[in-house]
Amino acid sequence: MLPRPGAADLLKMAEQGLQDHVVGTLEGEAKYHTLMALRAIAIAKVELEEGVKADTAELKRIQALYDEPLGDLAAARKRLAADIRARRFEPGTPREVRLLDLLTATTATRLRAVNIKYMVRRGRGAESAV
Amino acid sequence: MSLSDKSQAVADFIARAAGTKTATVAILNRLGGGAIQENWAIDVAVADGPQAGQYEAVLRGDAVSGIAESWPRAKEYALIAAAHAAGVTVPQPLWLEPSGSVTGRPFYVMRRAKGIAQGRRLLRSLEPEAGDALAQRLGAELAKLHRIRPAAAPDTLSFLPKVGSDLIAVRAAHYRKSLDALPEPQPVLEWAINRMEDLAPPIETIALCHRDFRTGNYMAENGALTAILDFEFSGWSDPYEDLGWFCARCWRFGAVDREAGGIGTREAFTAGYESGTGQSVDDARLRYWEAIAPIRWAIIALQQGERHASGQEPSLDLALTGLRAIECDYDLLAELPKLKKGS
Repeated sequence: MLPRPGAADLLKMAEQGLQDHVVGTLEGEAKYHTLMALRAIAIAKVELEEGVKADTAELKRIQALYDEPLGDLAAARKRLAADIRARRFEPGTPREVRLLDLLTATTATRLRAVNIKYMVRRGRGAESAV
Repeated sequence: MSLSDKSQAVADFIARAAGTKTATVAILNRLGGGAIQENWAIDVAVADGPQAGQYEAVLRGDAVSGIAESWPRAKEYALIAAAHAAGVTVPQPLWLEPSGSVTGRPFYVMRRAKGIAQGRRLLRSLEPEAGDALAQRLGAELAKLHRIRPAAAPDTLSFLPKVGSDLIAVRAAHYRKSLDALPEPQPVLEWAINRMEDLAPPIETIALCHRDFRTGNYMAENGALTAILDFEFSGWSDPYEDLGWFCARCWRFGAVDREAGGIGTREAFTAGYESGTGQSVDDARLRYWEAIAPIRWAIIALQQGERHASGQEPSLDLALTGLRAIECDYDLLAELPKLKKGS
């Protein structure tokens, strides 16, 4: 892997450079594409910093719901989705409440990474709904 | 699709379609928007014959890759023609080239509407009063479209799958099939589809629905509607699907307090619709369709992201669109628990 500076630092500097020296000079399509690139950099930065931790937390939450080992995160997500489809979480039951807590926590973590502004406008609506 | 070296071929096609010997075409530029289709501004001159004249037009062709739910150009042309005949404010459809032999892909040509379509730009350009007036007008336009019913539909729409009182069950099965075709499981959407089935009100009416009726898919100039666009998802459905889609939070472009498409009040929009139908809007039904709208948008967004991720059409725009499904998940978790059965 790379010596210092690492990937996160490189992304941070690339983001800073685009913001400070490029975006203000652009208009139209060029500005649109540069802003998209900045958005992608911002998401990639969060993923680098928090992605592994978030995946570990999600797997723990799913395992807690089942109280049994489920393999890796991909297998756990697959099992969870299949069980929801099979209606193994009856609406209005404590088990469904636990499911919604899990889904909300995972979704909130992901949304913080990809579009925290959306969450701010929402006033953390999903967390208060469950 | 690049049209720059195909203007003569397009002109020859238009001449044939317009029943004349000579037509000229100037390719102007590719238009923004249209994540699934490609739209090009063109100027057309037809020298003589029944369609002689100058046309400021748009050539709309298939993009490199698409998503399953989107109709091919010939079918979209039939839909826009039906809407035009019903008096809906749409660009006049002019000529259809369904074979793909002229430019490499099927396309049609329609009149070019003036104004702004892009959601955030449109919102910035509107004063609140103008926004309410536009929302009201859009409600009235939607009522015109919904007058097209299966029993009296033109034969050109016979390709549309029939739906009935089992609409929600059919939709749920379709969504689950769509999820099965995606590479990653979607637990929130699985839960939301169950709730969509559990909370569904009975289906009372089936009409021709736009099925992507939202800010971003119409054009307005100085606050006045100039054209409703993008009939690529249209089909038979419960009219409340269009009303709910228009009001869904995911289509308010950040102006969450302006519940009708981010441009106006819910009351202005439904008043316009009621003026066109002569019937009251059932608020509970509208809110049901509004609450489930993010399910379909999430699936479309994931399919768009997959167009990129699969390597079919590498695009940062498509990749970021795929991530918008997370916003939909969040909306579903916030809104669906508030709905009651039959509401």
